[in-house]
Amino acid sequence: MPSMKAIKRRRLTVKNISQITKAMNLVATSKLQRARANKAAVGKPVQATFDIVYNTVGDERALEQPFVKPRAVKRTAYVLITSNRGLCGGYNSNVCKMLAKYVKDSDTQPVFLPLGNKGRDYFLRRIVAETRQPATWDEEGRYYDPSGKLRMIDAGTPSETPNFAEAKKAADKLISMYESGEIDEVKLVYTQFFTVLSLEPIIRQVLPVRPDYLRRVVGTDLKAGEEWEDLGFFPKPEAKGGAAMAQEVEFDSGIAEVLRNVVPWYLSMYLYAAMASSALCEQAARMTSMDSATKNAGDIIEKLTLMFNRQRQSIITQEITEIVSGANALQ
Amino acid sequence: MAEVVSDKKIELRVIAPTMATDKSPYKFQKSVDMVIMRCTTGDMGILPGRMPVSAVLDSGVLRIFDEEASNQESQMVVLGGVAHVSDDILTILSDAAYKPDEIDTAEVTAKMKEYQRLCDAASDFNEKTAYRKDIHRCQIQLDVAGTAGK
Repeated sequence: MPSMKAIKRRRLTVKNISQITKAMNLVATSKLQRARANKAAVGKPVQATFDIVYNTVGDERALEQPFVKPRAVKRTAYVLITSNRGLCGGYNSNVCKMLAKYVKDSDTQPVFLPLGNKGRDYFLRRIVAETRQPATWDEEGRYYDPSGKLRMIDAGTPSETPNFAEAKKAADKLISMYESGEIDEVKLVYTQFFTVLSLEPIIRQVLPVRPDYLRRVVGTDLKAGEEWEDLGFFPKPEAKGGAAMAQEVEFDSGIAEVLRNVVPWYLSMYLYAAMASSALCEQAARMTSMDSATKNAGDIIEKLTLMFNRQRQSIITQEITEIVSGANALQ
Repeated sequence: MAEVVSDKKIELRVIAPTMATDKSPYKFQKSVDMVIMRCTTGDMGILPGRMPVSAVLDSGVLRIFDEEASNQESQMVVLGGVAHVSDDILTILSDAAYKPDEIDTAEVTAKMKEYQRLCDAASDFNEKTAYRKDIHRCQIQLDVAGTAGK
């Protein structure tokens, strides 16, 4: 049994920690509102971008174009969106573990582009443990392992609130690598927000653009048996149907040129929206985990108080017993 | 001045992701009669009933005509992007689209001078071309801001 002094000290520590977690909970709650507004603001631009991309790649002539035509996949780039800071429950570890498992089961060579320190540190640690060599970065921020394989691309540390310029920077990097053949596929790994208590890590293919998949995402002219795929960015659109579906799009400067400009936009917007979704999830996860931490701290304080009172009582009882027995001995 | 005869309207939506808020997701949204935009292949006018078209935008002025505003031409600066028309909706995606009152002429002039200095100092042809493009972009902004101020 710890001494009374030790219990008192521990109770004070827990109390201080609970004050911190409570403050963090309040901060996360207020940031959650802002993150929710940010994500809502992204909805329409994303939907409009997806519509345009779908109208472009839905054309038969697009199927032979570089960003649409599937190629043999040797290297897959995974854009991993996590937070920069911890204390947000399982938010970071869930998405990292899911990706680690996915990569293990995949046949292609993974190249990570982490947006967020936690994800970068997680995979960097794993790669270093595997190669037993410290990570060395070249001038362009790329990390090749000792066997010369490209393992990771540094895209810097993103800011806490999603920023289109950062998304665009990462997207431009990916586009140039895709064009030069350094990577053959791009997948986006982030956390989708359903409710504050329901956050789901997911992996979505972004490049090459798949017209069939986009049709399901856009959802305006689904084929029979197809279901709309909810990305969580915008509500289900109304089906156009009929004549609107059959309209052929004219390409002012040729389909290749239009795609060359539309696809980087698509990638930037998708990344931006995923960053907004992940930022919202981070705050939601932090809010719930800090709430439960505060509750747990309250429980611990209660237990410690009980333990402290019991000890005090036992000391008092012992002293009374000693006094009584001492008095009895004097009689 | 372009004369507009159709009573149908075209909805112009300019999307600049950095400007979006949950209350107004578009940078600019209005039902108008005609829009003339600067594409990489030249100017393109969009009227209601236009068949679907996708175009790549060059840096230039977006000219907007609205009968309700006495057919007065209003302008916007769009520095590149993508435009798409379908179902009488013209969507413009651009992360650099400014209304005349948003242009800070002093700042743009300072930037332009800086680009001019860098352009004069550059020896590489590609570098010079890139700076000339930047200067051209600044010039467009100044022209539009100047026209609006008159």
